[in-house]
Amino acid sequence: MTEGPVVVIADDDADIRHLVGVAVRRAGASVGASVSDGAAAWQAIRDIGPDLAILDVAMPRMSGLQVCRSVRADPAIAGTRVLLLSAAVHTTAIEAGLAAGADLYSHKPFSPRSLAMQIRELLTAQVTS
Amino acid sequence: MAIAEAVRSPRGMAANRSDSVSSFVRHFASDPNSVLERQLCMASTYLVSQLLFLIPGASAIYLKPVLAAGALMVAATVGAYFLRAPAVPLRVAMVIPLVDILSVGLLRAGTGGVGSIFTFMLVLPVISLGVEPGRLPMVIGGPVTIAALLLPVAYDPAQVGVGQWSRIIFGPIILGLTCLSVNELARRLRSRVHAVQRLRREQERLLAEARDHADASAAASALLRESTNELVSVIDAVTEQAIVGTDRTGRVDVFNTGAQKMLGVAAHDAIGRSIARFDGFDELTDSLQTFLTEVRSGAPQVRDWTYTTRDGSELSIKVAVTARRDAAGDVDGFLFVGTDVTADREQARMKDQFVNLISHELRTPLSSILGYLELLEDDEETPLTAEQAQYVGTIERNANRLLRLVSDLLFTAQVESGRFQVQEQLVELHSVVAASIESAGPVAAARGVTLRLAACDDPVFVSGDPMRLGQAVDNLVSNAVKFTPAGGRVAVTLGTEADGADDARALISISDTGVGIPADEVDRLFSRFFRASTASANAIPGVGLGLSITRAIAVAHRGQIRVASTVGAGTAFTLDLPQAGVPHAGGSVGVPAGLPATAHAG
Repeated sequence: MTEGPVVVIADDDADIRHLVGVAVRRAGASVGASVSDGAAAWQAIRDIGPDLAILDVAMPRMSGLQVCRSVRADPAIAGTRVLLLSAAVHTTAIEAGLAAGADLYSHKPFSPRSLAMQIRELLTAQVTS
Repeated sequence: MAIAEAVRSPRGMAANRSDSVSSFVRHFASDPNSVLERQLCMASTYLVSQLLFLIPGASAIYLKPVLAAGALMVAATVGAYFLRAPAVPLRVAMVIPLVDILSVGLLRAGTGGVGSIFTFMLVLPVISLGVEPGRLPMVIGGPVTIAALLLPVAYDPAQVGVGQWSRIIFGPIILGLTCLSVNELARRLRSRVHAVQRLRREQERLLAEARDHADASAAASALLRESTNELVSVIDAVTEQAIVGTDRTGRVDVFNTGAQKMLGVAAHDAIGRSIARFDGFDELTDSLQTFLTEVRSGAPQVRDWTYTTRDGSELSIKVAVTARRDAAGDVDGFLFVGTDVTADREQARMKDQFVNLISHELRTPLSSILGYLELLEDDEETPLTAEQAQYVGTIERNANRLLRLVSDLLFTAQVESGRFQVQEQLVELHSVVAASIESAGPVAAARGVTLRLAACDDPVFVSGDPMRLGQAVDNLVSNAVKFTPAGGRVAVTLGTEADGADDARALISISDTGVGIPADEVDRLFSRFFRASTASANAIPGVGLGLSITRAIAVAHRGQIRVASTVGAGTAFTLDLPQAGVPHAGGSVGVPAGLPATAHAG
């Protein structure tokens, strides 16, 4: 079943998790884990070693930024692509996200169609790199 | 008063002594009353002399001169009585002894001529003349005395024997010398009296001056005490602000009620201590000296300091420090006025937290709604019917409207809290304006409004946030379309204006043929939640945030927004921004090449 790239999704809102899952599948990838908090996301990333992690910024236990920094700090999984998804629109928030090591910072609300495209681009970039 | 008494008492006795001497001399020499006294003395002598006539063999030789002498004596006495009056000049008093001299002359003529025993009576009026101030009485008195002495000779030349001539000659000389001596003595006495009087007057003046000074000084210190009390009471009445004063070295000399309450330190523990030794302020130990140097050099300094109270809680205190200056303008100390802003900071923090929460909580469900609507529209297996597609479109439109409203509210909160900062980059305005025209195009076309762009050929650069600038132009363009009835026109122009080399402006103007804004509402137009009466009357939807946001964006870009409007004719908004320096030729800034000077949309 696990063909193609694997993605870990983390968001405290189940509906958003499902919506992101649709976008991931449309991008031709599979959902390795779909979790509702940062700590679970960190655990899943270490366990699965996904190609991409799509993280909400504001999550319980560990924020998306913290998870992203942890991923970048761990040599075993440092190559994992990270897409941050946030409701915040301040330029400062975007800068903080990119500074934490995210490959892409996307806003909520998002179009599943556009998100699928972004996921595809990120995964293709990983393959070529 | 006590000081005045103390000054007076040691000199009092001397003053009293000189008082009695001068009053005696004044009485004798120049007091108008003594004229009568002296004359009474003379008259008494005269009366006593008349007793000699009772001695047998001493009777008058000639009756007429004796009677005349008596008459003159009476006249002189009566005259002396009237000359006492203060209105009579002192000089006139010398007439009395002159009359006396003549009277004695006549008495001698009647009572034995040159050898008369009454000759000695001349001494009294001569002394009286001598006592008169100045030489004039003597000058007049001399001939009169000589005449008086010669009267017996004139009356009866036979009386004068050979031996009598010496008496006639020596008599006036002795009397004259007597008069001169008395006059000189009196003059010296008078000058001393004057000196004493002058000294006394001077002393009195000095005393009065000392008394005045003492009074003024007492009044001044009372005033000072009063104003000090007033100041202290005012400073102590400030219970919610800490006021701490120090001298030049930083030693605390003012510590008001507010300071005691805020810092939890009693005044007696604080007064006299160095401000640098206050526990709880890290800033005081770290940077006080550099800080005070800045205060000393000029403007008051305002800083936020953190104070750790004795129970361990932390206070945010906004401290304003000013220099205290003495009369010469030199720095004499420092005043620290502290306001506890802990609650304000906490409130601001909570507000931020609330805004972030709302941002998350409102945008997340909207994300789901919009996302799933798109899934519905994109579902290729079970495509929507035309009617369903219309319903979904309506839901989507309204969800987007809600999303815009949420974004506007959040942005407004951000501006209000002062946290809106522009992340500046070089922005070319043709692309910004063109994007706004493009996005407003479908709505304008649907409403039957002509949307037209007229832009200058050259690229126009400003320094700013392209997203926010786009939002500002979007707001103005969509407003113009919204407020213009079908068949109307909206014209957007982009141009530049230069007042001087350093003041090149970029101008984006949006004018419409819409409903217009009443003149009395123009001032309130940029207030949050304000809606023009023409908007409500025409049932044009909106909450009144767009223009306040647009202005906040303009201000954050060091620009401004102007408006000109006529009800029923239309409105023109102009976004006026400072132009950024044009990049060097061949620069890699993305300028849309050959943007059409005029574009039509819709």
